[in-house]
Amino acid sequence: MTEEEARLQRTYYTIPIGPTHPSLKEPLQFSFDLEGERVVDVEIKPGWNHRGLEVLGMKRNPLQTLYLAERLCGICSVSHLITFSRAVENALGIAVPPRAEYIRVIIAELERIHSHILWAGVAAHELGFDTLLHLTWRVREQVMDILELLTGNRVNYALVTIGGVRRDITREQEPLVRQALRYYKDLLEMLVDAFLHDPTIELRTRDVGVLSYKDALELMAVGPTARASGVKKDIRVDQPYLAYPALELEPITPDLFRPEVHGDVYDKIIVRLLEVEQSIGLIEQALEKMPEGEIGRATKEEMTELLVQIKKREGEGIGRHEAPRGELFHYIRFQRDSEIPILWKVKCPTYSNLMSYRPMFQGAQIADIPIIIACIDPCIACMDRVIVRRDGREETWQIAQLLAKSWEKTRRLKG
Amino acid sequence: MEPNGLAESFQARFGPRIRATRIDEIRSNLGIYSYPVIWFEIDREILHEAVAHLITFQFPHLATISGRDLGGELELCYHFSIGYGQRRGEQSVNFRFTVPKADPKVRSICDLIPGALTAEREKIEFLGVEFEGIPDSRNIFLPYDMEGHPWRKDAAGVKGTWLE
Repeated sequence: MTEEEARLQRTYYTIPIGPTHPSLKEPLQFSFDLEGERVVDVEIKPGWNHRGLEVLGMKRNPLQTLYLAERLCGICSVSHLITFSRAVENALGIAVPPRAEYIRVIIAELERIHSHILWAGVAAHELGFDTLLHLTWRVREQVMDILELLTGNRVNYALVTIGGVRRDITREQEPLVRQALRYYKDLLEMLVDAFLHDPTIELRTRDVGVLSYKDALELMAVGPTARASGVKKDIRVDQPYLAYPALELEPITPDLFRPEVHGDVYDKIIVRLLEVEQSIGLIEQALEKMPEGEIGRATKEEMTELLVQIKKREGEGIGRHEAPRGELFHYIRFQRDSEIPILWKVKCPTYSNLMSYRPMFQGAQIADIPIIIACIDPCIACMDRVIVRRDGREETWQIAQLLAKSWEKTRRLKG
Repeated sequence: MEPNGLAESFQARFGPRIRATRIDEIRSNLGIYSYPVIWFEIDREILHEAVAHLITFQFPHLATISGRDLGGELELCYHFSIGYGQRRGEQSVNFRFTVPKADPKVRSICDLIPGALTAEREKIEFLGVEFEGIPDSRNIFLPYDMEGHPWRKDAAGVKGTWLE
């Protein structure tokens, strides 16, 4: 049988999902090959919202690019800013005051708390637990309020700048941060109970979307996706930066909660919930150890001076940061006599985790597609539409129908 | 593995085909720790062997491949790191080389590191690099039928017909 005949004789259907709604930050298109209810293979096409930001950054000076870098992502905006600033600081040898390094850690960890809780809500929604979704998003408001208190904004905090931060954490603000941390500490037990001790959630996520240790390593998975498969990659531990060298932390893997590592969706929930606890501890340590002193430069005169310095120097630098979703990477290179970088390359965590989808989907059921898509936390739990081709006839499925299928499975399992 | 030891191991293995080596020591602003970033300028022919040599230390993490158009040539830089999983043990290792635009062929490293596929496909569409032995050479972020390479300085821009 030739390859063409084999293709014509195949018995599976192809279902394209997405590209998603263009206003969402990570629209992706999935094309699933199905044999009955089972996924045989998947093809992923990103790039539906590629805005060419790297090229824009190569037409501006780094102070202008700060605003661009922060808007690369809405959920982890300070992560991009920290990484970009570190790339520029490493390239040009700009020192940052220790107090500013601690403030960066505090904001980065607050961001991790809000991002992981947001994800937990999305995961609950995909599984059909809408009460849990509303509960998690309600408790997330507390950390958003603290971010607003410290920086003035709920998202895009505009706090980090090259060579430091722009606002200090005052003595009056510290008790409010501690109060919020206590709130989450008390809450954590309830969240762990709701997610990890619920038999239906366990049935829906245990051995679903499995990524083996070998695949996670070879496909360059990063962040909670890698750690849930037992790959201990955490830049905060492996190559510490900011104030992390002075703080106590260990990479979180699922074996801290259950003896075995499965690499499934359940393990990814474990890692993210335990990381919320870890972030609370890190912020407490940072508040404890933070020294008094300068926080960096931010006045107009100082910024002009910084630009002059950038123009005089040349060099290349790498900034890496453990964002909520994994390794964030910025590379920047400057030439003498120009403040415009000749190269700026950004690599976000989902870029690295994209290839892990394929092994995770193989053998999965249609009803598990939403939770597997959500499990690497790509923020595309907003699937647009599904077109089902049957006998040459096309049916368009809305997101609601796909979710209904997922919810139906949960109800069936509940009996 | 000491950064100097790693650099010497590469120099002993490849000799003059490693054209230059630089080790940057990135110091923590708290003054208690520093980590090395190693930059190798290499011949493009040895890329595959160099990555295979790097794997003998630890299966490396590939962040991405960066690239730019120098005019007559394309410059590529592979950003690896090894030593993850050990507290303060990770060091960055970068391989940089140029390929002429008239013959932009590079041997794919996907057989060694399957996860390099996204980064390589991105370089195909944006810079017009040709990877030999790549399992999937279609565009990834750009439309499948797009012509031209946006990161090339001679890129002609968006055609009017694409906007219709």
